[in-house]
Amino acid sequence: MTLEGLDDLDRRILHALQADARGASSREIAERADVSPSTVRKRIDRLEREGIVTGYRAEVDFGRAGYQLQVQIACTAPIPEREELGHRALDVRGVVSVRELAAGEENLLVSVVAADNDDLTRIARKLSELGLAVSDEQLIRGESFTPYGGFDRPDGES
Amino acid sequence: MTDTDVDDIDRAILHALQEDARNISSDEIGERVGIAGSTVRKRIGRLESAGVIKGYSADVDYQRSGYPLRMLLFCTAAIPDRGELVPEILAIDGVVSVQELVTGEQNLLVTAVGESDSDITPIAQQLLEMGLTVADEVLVRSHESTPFGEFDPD
Repeated sequence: MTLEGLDDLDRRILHALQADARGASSREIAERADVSPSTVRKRIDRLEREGIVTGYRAEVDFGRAGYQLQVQIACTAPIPEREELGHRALDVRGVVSVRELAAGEENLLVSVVAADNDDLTRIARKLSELGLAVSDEQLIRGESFTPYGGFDRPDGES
Repeated sequence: MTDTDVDDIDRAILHALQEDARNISSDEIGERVGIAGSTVRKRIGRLESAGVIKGYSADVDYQRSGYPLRMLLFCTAAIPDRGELVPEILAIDGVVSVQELVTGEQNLLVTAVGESDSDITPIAQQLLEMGLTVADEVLVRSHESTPFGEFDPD
């Protein structure tokens, strides 16, 4: 599926799902878009099948859930292994996300949630056992998301 | 809600909602955890109002959607301003997330999405106008999330 394959209805659906993946029912999206709910359901199926929507996630405030130590660990992976090591880092308990950057140094940013300092040390050690060079750890104060504005525009406007 | 109020059942609910926020019903979560669906709905309502759950989002592959540029902008804000700036930054068209770091020279990491460079440049410009220093911009090749393991009851 390419850009040509995404039309206004697809973008409207993506926007609704980014804004509230759990609460926005197909029926409500359909009403707003003036199409039938079954059309919306079919479109969502297609967006999932084509890998445009890759999942639905609750955004959790880990601090409020009792985990005060949220840390971003900057790691360097050899470029040929970057992608694979990034996937393997995701399996380390405590890791909640991995960003792969197009850079030579500090090209994997690993976000972790730890119970305490010992737990953080365990996670950093696991990452380094995978073959990542851990260069920096920074406390995360918070992270905020918003739906992408590009999905909220009619076709042709920018 | 204090930390101690999040118990094993809450954690199991959070795990389910981190795995699939859209397609797992409260009744299904209830079956997994061994409690009534209505109890799950109440718990979710409480987790939402206490701010433990901030929202539910779809993960989108922007590249496949026709927006191949996802840039991470490393910015510096004066510490007292940092928190206040976040809503303003999120309101910039094209920005999809802001991460606040406690320490370090670059204390705001802004993620912006666009079709081409010409979509990203005005975003950097607006950040400058807000008084931020944009020290670096790096292309994000991928960003994958996974449910937090400590919420997993198994």
